[in-house]
Amino acid sequence: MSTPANTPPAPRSLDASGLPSHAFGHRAPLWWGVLLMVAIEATTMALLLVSYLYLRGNEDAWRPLRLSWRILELAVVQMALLVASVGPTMASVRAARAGRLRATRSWLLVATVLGALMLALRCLEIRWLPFRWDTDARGSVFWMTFGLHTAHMVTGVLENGMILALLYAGRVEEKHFGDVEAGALLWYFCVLEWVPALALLYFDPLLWPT
Amino acid sequence: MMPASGYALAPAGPQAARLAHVFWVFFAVALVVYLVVVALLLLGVLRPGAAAVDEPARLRLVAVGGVLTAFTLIGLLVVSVRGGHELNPMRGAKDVLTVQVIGRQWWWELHYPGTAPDQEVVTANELHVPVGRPVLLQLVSRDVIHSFWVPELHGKRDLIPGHDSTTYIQADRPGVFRGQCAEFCGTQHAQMGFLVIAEPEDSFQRWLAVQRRPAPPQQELGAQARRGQQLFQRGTCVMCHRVAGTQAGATMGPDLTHVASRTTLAAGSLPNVREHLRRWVADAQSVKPGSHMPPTPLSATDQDDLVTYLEALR
Amino acid sequence: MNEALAATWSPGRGLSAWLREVRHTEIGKRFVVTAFLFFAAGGIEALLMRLQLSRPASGTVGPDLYNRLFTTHGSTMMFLFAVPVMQGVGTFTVPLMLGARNLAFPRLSAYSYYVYVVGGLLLYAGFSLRAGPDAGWFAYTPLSGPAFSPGKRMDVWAQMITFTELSALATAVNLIVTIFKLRAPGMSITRMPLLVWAFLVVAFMIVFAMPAVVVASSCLALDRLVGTHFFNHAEGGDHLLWQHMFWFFAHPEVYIIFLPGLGMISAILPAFTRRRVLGYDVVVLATVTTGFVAFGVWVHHMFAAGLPQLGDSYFTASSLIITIPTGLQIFCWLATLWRAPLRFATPLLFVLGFFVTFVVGGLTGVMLAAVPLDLQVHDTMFVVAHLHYVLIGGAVFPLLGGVYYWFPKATGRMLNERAGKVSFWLTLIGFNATFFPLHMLGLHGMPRRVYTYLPGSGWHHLNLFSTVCAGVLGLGILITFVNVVASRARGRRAEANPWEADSLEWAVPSPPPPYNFAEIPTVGSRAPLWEEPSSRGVVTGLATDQREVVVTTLLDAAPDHRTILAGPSIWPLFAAAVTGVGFIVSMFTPWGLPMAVALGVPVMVGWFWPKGKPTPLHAEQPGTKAA
Repeated sequence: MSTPANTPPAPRSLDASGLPSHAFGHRAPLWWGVLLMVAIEATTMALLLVSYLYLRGNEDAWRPLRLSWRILELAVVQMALLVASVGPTMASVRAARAGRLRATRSWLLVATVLGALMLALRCLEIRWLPFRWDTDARGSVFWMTFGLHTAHMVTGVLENGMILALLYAGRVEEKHFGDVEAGALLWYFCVLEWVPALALLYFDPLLWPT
Repeated sequence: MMPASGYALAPAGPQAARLAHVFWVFFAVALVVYLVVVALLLLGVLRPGAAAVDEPARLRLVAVGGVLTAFTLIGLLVVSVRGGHELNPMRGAKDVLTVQVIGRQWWWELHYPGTAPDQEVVTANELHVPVGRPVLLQLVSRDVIHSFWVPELHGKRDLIPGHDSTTYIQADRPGVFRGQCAEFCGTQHAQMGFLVIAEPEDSFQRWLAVQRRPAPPQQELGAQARRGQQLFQRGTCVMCHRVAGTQAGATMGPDLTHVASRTTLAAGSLPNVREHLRRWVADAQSVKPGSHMPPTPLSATDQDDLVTYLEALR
Repeated sequence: MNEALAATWSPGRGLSAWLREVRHTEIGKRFVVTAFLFFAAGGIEALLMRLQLSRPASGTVGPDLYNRLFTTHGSTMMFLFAVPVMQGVGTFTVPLMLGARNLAFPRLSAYSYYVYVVGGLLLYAGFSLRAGPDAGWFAYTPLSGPAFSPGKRMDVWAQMITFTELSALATAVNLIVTIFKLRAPGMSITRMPLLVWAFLVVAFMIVFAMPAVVVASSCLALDRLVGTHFFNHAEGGDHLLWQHMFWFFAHPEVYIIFLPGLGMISAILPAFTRRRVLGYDVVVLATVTTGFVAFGVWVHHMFAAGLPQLGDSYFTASSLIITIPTGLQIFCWLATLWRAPLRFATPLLFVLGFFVTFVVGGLTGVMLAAVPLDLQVHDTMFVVAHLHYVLIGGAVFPLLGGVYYWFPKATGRMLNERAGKVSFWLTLIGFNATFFPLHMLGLHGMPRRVYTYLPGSGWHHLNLFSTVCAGVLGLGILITFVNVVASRARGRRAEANPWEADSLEWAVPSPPPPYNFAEIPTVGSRAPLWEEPSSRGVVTGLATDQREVVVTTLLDAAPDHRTILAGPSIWPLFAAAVTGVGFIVSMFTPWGLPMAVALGVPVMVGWFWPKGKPTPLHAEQPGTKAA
């Protein structure tokens, strides 16, 4: 019977009524659920970026279309908005962990508004893009990646909106503070995943000769 | 002779021979391993004992098994890499014959380039090669992914649209070898076969010379064949088929200039004899449902005439 | 107290309760039953294919129907049977083996089942309407693309993929979080049953592999529907991109199917050898290693595509290496079996059948790893033989053993043992006789996916023999089906632990009450039920008027906090309906997806909006600490 020496001995009988009824961070099942969902979406995004690189390797058929400066600027502004929303998100999580309802929802509101602004700019960008998904393969990969990230952002904004509605209008329970943290995980992912995508899809063509 | 299959372990060329050798090594190892595992299983299972067991001792044996497995696999890796080394292209290949193979749903278009454009030979579904010379096949697909496979000569190579590729074959003895498309390519994938006919160099050159000639001119045809040619030229045949030396120049279907010289019809599905040729021409869909050749409704005499004409295209 | 628990955890009666079911035991059973129904459908497709191939130019089935049959057979077996049945076994057994009362996300498990059913119904609706896919379960472009597969056939395939992969991803997330956080106190990660380890590894594999096929099938659907060019080489796309993306998913997929089978062997052996599986650490490491290496072998499906030889050689090496961890597991099991006091009941027979069958497939797999060899037998009946040997030998045999093993736990009745033995022998002999000849046929030049062959090929006799033996195999499986149906009503009643097994699921009555464990156990070893009863403990103090469970730490399973698990809900069904409608409409117009989002928002609100008795902030409960 080999049980490793450093495994703690089994408690014979355990009274659970003394345990807290809620926990944050990696102690919480929901946190892991969201983290795994993030892993799935991150894999999806990674696959699309790798596909871009793979297709780009077919040099003779690839057409590195440079985006106009106004689109690049718009993309950078969107990225800036996303990055700016990270601070308020982190603040709302800190407030949630401390159980401070008003601070939690105020910071979350700020973050959500920044995200919504970013989506509004993205609508503008959609109208400015000079190629469509059916223009060529590069257009297809661009729009698919762009579309995936936009879907993530829309989900994030909607989810934050729902949490805000709950925090402002509903019966707030302790576990809803955990929901704030879960939503924040998704939000950080939305910001992080766009960094390599921005670099590859928008700025990589600048490195190619016209 | 129309072989309908090929046996990968009856190699007729250096590539297939190397592949067969790799197979036999792996097979021998696999057989031994399987017998050992079954023996261990039977020995262990048919003589029950007590539940208590010396776990560390058993685990040492497990480790031994693991190490033996690892070494065996390393050995097999070496055999595999060496077996596949420089199959394509063959080292020191000289006097290479180049043939372009174009895979199409559901037949094989073959081009033998000549010294001038009018020296090019275009044929279908029957690849003639000289014995003992390496043949470079340029593999192109016009539609979907196909795979060129002649088990007795070499392993298979896919024809992927957008990814032209090459492979070498070489027949070291004369013979007729069966080939088959080996990548599912649609409705009639099952009947996309072909033959590789390996013949001595002089016989091959004669074949090539005949294939370069255009079709016999009208005055050399008999009366019935001439009637058949009229039917051919005025009917739907010319919409898809080319007969060199006539006005029929379409390239959607196989080149028929020397169709009567071929051993099979319908991409290796039928022996090229009159009754099959007649049936194929009258209603190809009854042979290869879903193929791109429509039925040709003709009266019985017209069919006879047309078939006689085609038989003259030697 | 048991009455209070039963009242809290019971779902109620009637159709409404059935639709709102979130208990893992029920959902697990639904998965398994539905999956076996698809298995039967796939089996009938296979018998039709074998009938057609029993003679050259047989004319039983024309080329179009044959192509639809083999595509539907492959898609059914891979997407509607093999993975879902493992989802079902995991859903049913894992919480019980962990001493938990349910999965971590009960409503997600219900959604997982419903969306799987949508996928299955879509494929078969398509098939019945002659709109079923016909380009193979692997759907290579350009054959599956808009130019060569007009109509909706391959769109049905692509969306079926979406549904089944969503289902699997949802199950995977559920299993991982349950295994990480809901283990019984004291069940440290090195005390988990080996089957749970297998499901943990498989769940992670699903998380990282399935997105690839979702992306690939979505790209294909977009190429077909809105004119994108992912796979159009004329506009910069690439057909090899499809192959890479598909096989990057599909190779781990076969291990996703196969590893739970191996886990089931580890679960079954102790009861019938009266020994714990020897080399627990080896088996765990081997499982984890296999999970990783499975992601590094996919190009061995593309050796004929003409990639650079150096790359091919790397994949030969990795494909050979992956043999080692599986081999080590087999050696550990042989060591466990060696001269043990065996009880030759049906579950053990199927495990023994695994050894003599799977090993053949593993060895032909070693052959296929070698590029020179593969170039001859790739895309021939040799590969058909190999894949069936590894999937049926490696997954279905253990699964059938698992059916005979866990049926008593799930239903409270024993399966008929004599019928089980007859079924085993017919299945073993029928399977080997059906598929072994295919190795020879492949070497003799018979490709796969062909609806007919020429009389002069010499393939006739082996094909006929194979078809006849397929009937034997079918009969063997049928006997188990009949056994299940008959024993459900009339089998001998089963007590809690009829096999005298060692893991926690055998501590609860058969079938388990809705709350599984009246008191959640505490665990002190790898084989809790073989310990002294006096050394076993329980968890007290959990509420009985709420679905309260204890959440433990990841590595040591020390008790951390309490939480309430979700109860019966109709929202998973609605969510699956919205998913279904959205993606099916998207086969016809891109507006399907925005429509799904629009419908999805109220469903998500319904799902997540708090209802029922609230636990107020900073609850004044005895001894509660604020987080």
